[in-house]
Amino acid sequence: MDQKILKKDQIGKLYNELVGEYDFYAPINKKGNIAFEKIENPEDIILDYLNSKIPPKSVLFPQNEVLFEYTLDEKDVEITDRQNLEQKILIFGVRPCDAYSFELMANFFSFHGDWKDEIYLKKKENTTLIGIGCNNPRTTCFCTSVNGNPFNKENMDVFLTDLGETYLVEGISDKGKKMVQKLSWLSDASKADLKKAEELAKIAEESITTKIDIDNVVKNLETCFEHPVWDEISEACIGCGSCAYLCPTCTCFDVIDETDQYNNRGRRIRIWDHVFIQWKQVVIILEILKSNVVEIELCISSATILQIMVY
Amino acid sequence: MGIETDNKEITNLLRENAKKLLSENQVDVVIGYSQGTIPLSSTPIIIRQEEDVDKLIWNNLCYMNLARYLAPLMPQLCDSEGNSLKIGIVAKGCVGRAINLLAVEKQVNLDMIKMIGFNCNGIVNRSKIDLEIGEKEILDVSIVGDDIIVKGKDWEKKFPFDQYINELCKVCQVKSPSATDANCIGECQELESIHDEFSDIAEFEAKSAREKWDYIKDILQVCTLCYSCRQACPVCYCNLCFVDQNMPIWFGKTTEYQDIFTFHLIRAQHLAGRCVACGACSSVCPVGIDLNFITRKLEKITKERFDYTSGLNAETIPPMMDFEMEDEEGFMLEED
Repeated sequence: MDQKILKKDQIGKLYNELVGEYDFYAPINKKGNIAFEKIENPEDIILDYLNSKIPPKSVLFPQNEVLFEYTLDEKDVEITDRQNLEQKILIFGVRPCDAYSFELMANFFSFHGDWKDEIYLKKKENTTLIGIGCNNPRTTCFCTSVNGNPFNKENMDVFLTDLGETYLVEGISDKGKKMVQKLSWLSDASKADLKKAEELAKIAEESITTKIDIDNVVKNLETCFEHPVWDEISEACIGCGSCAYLCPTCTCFDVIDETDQYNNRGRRIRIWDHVFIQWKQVVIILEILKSNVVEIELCISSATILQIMVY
Repeated sequence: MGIETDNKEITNLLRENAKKLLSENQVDVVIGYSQGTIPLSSTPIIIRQEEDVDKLIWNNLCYMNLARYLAPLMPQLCDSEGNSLKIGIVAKGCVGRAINLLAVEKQVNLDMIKMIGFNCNGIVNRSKIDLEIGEKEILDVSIVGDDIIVKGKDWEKKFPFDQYINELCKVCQVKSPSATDANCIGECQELESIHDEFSDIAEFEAKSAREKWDYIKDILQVCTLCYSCRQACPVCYCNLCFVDQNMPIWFGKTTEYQDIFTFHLIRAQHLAGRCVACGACSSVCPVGIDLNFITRKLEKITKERFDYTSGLNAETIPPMMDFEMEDEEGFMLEED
């Protein structure tokens, strides 16, 4: 049977069993903010959160990622790859929307097949997602408008449902099914458990009342590009860009070299970035680009945030 | 009488004065606050027409310092021919201070600005409430009498207003803009100087150097270096911030604590004698960091050494932009 039951006090047991094989990431409360961090103590794990503040994209696409380090001598440069991309990663307690974000990120980092960001894609390949259904979506949530669902299991390997006293555990992908089988100490789920999970999923889906009509977005945007509503929204924006940092699918990054010239070494780091940081400069660049016919892609994310990415 | 009644009166005062300024063509636009789209927030708004003045509100969640919109880094308000517009601005005390400071630093032209002054009754400490509510969704926030009532799906929590406002607001003495009649209507005051005990940072100051270090390190560990604090600050307006310079790179940009530390402490130094204690930096922080203990400490040092409080008038040059032969140099040898 593929459906099992995990008692709430067995999270520690699950952690101990898996932490040897995987780098175990899960949501914790970091000074009032839910963030995914590598777990040292399973008691820190929080599963009854609304949604993550710092998105789990930070696990596979960290805010600072050392790509390589180098040392110089008189003749040569020696480059050391810092990362062990073969390390298996487990992200525990991820919500369906965040789980879907990894697919979108992988899509971006494949650049339509033109070239591949091997660091991201390799890490993604070695990642197992143990997700959890969203019993109480927030009133601002709108996943059902973008092909999502508070109990969407598609992008998960293992899926949990919070039944109150226990979690229902379901293996979804082959990888996930094997993992559940290995955890032989889990008890079998009863029919009542399955029924309860179904009911919870239904209630959660019905509770999402914010609906966005995405079918007509492109058409509508074409006709209201100059609409004064954009002035109203952009005039109040202070350009801080924290929306980009807290967004699970914002991918902009900068690559910087840090040089330790006294010791003849340095490192190349990829860090999160957003175009708002130098808004004034971006506006000037856009003006130049427009006159040189360079592709400018406008991407509209959520309902109000307009982000301009320049290729 | 309570905070609720105060707010209604303030809102009426703002609307009346905004209407007057617009109808008499004294200004072209009025910058103010409007209802936020999510609870515990407000949205700055730029009003261009008389009939829109009813969108203006005041509700203790108006945490942005509107002077930010006058600072040179923001898109400047111009007519179709590129001429600067005359601006009316809803001004609590710290907005007035910021405008004065921007005027001293020659970043705004006071002739083009009309402040709609009022006596601010304090700004709700959003992150403190957020932290206490925890992982529950806030659906509605209102002020009833002297309490902040926060409601969720099947719960309600009451917070006494005077305890749940920003620490800065608790000790604030510049409630309304200190401005001359020429550029202020509504409620304004004339302040030569203020007496401040700085009791809010006494606890921080009592710590040893080691404890201060640990405390700052602990508070800043969640910082994502999104620079919201800088963006919201009315007096942070460098064309290219020191952290954004990359030819050459002057400072690390990672979220390792050394880099977080460098950013916050250098930004704080740039604010020495300039910070107007509005608390916008802390209010906008997405991860709830309270930076005010740093800026208040700087304010205290400036007050003690130079007897200067920023933004009280539009003439006195801030100490870091000026020098006198009698200035003390003792700090160069001090350890504190």
